[in-house]
Amino acid sequence: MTEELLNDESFVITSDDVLGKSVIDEQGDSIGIITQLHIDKTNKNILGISIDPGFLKPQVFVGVRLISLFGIDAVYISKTPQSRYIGLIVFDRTGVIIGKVIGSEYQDKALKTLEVRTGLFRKVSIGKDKIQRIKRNVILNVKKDEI
Amino acid sequence: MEKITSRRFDLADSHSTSDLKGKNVVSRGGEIVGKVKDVLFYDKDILGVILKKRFRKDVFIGIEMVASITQDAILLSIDPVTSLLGLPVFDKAGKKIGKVKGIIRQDERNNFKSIAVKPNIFRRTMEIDASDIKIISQHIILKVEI
Repeated sequence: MTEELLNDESFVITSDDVLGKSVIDEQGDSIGIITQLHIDKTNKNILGISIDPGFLKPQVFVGVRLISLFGIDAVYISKTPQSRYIGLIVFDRTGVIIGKVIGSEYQDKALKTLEVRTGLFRKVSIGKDKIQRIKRNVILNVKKDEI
Repeated sequence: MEKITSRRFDLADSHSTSDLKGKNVVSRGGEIVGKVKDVLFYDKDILGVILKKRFRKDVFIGIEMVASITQDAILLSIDPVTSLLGLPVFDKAGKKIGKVKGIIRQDERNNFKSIAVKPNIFRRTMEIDASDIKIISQHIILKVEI
């Protein structure tokens, strides 16, 4: 690479410009902070990034093809990771708080069930058919006793 | 209790204002937008509820925007426009512009004309038109580069 290209800030960024940046998905939600940049040793190209979503949540790896922009203050990705639902509050259709999402199961890339912690030692699996919508949190179309 | 009414209903299926006070108010998107501070009446009709929001001004929500009133919460049919306050704003290039400090509305309906964004204490507030906003969620992402 020529020296001019290396000095062109509009073309080249370094790991310092990437690590520690916020990652925002296609829905405008925060995924976490970039902690690692993964590089293919053989082909010498970037494979993707590791993201720390926060306290007690598992790290997320996002492949470079899903990165839509390395921005000035944030990195935009074009997909929502499957772990995005972890930590969301689950309300039944009357507004009662059921619990928090601790896991999700997918089938053919579509959400199948959410695993919800309802008590200290209790959890329940909620099928997609019982979910009315997922936005900031999860709203079910059933009452707590119908789960 | 004794009941004197010409209507047929079970008192157990109703809610009193004292039951509602302090209950969560949940937006359409599942955000807890506040707690019920009071219920407003005009003549014999319920006008709406006053929400108490932590660290922010109280908000009145008209009854027509309430989807359901249950024993445990009030569910709204809207995501109140006041929920935009405090959201971080990023432009198309991924640059952080600032946080929403104000919402400029044309009337009292649940929409807005523009948002006031303050980058930091040293810089002036800038106004961003609603038509320049691409996504509203945990962040506001603009369609344009600032």
